Amino acid sequence: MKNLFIVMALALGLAVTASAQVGQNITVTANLTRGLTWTTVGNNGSTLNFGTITLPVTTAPSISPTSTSAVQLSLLGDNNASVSFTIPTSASLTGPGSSNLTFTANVMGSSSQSSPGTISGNQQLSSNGNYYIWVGGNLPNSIPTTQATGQYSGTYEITVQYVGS
Amino acid sequence: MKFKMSARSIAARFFGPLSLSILLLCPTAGLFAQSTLTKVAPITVQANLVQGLSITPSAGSDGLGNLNLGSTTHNSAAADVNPNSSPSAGLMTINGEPAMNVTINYTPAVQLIHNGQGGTTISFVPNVVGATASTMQQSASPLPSGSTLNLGTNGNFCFWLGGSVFIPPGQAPGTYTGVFDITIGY
Repeated sequence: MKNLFIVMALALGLAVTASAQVGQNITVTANLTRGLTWTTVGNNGSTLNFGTITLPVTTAPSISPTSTSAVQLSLLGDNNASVSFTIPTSASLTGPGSSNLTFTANVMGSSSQSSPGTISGNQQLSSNGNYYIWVGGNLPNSIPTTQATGQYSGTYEITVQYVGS
Repeated sequence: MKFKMSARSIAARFFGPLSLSILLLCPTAGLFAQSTLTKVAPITVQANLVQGLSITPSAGSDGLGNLNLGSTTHNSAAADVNPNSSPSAGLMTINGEPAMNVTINYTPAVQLIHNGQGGTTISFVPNVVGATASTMQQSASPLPSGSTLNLGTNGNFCFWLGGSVFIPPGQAPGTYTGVFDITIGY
């Protein structure tokens, strides 16, 4: 009987020893990033519409980025995250003829919806993860009467990404 | 659901409770990976180009856009130019973007000023009719200020300018002139 207790004690001791060898502390981390999402603000949606333009054009049709005709976008991402924007200077509008129109963009941005400013370098989202973009621009300052009349349309794309992603 | 529970059981058996947490977290992080770390905002830019509008005077006037009411007898009630029938009516042709609507506006009355006596005036009341072709003067419809007309497939519209002046008794004889502006716009 005494031997049995010794055997059991040894067995328990072995078990304890084995448990101590595998009981490592493992730190598990997961960095969840809020996906970047764009939403439009206001009645214009994502359409920048210059409306009807009469030929010949001698003064560039223009939409100020802070005007009611501009497109306003709201960006949501990680709080206080640093992001970079790819903002093309222009886009091509195609129409009924062979000659396209060049749209030159005028883009402003801010982490505050009430204070649009120039965008230079990386930008920081607000403490709530917000950033705002205002898009305006202009068309050529000279469009002759030989330009084909009709509807012109094109897509202008702004890309945002997390810095370091 | 059954498969999920089974997977958890298998994982618990081989890796313990800690591993379960890893299994649950990884797919969640994967949902946000790559696709939304970079995001494109497409903006549609639109413009509608149309030909500019022009007004060209032609037959029926002196070719310069002038309307000559002619001579009338002193103390007569009025001098009229009927835009539907008078060869003196000024024919004007609007040219612009085909099929577009155009609005026409003009003042309801113009003061004509005596050439030698600046303070002496008479009132000219315009009468404008319009049609889609220059051959349709007689059937042209009244075109009151504020009317909307369609330029048709050729981008043209014609209108004839007539009108009348009332000459009250005692009005000073002489030549009276004034400027009558017609404004058109899309």
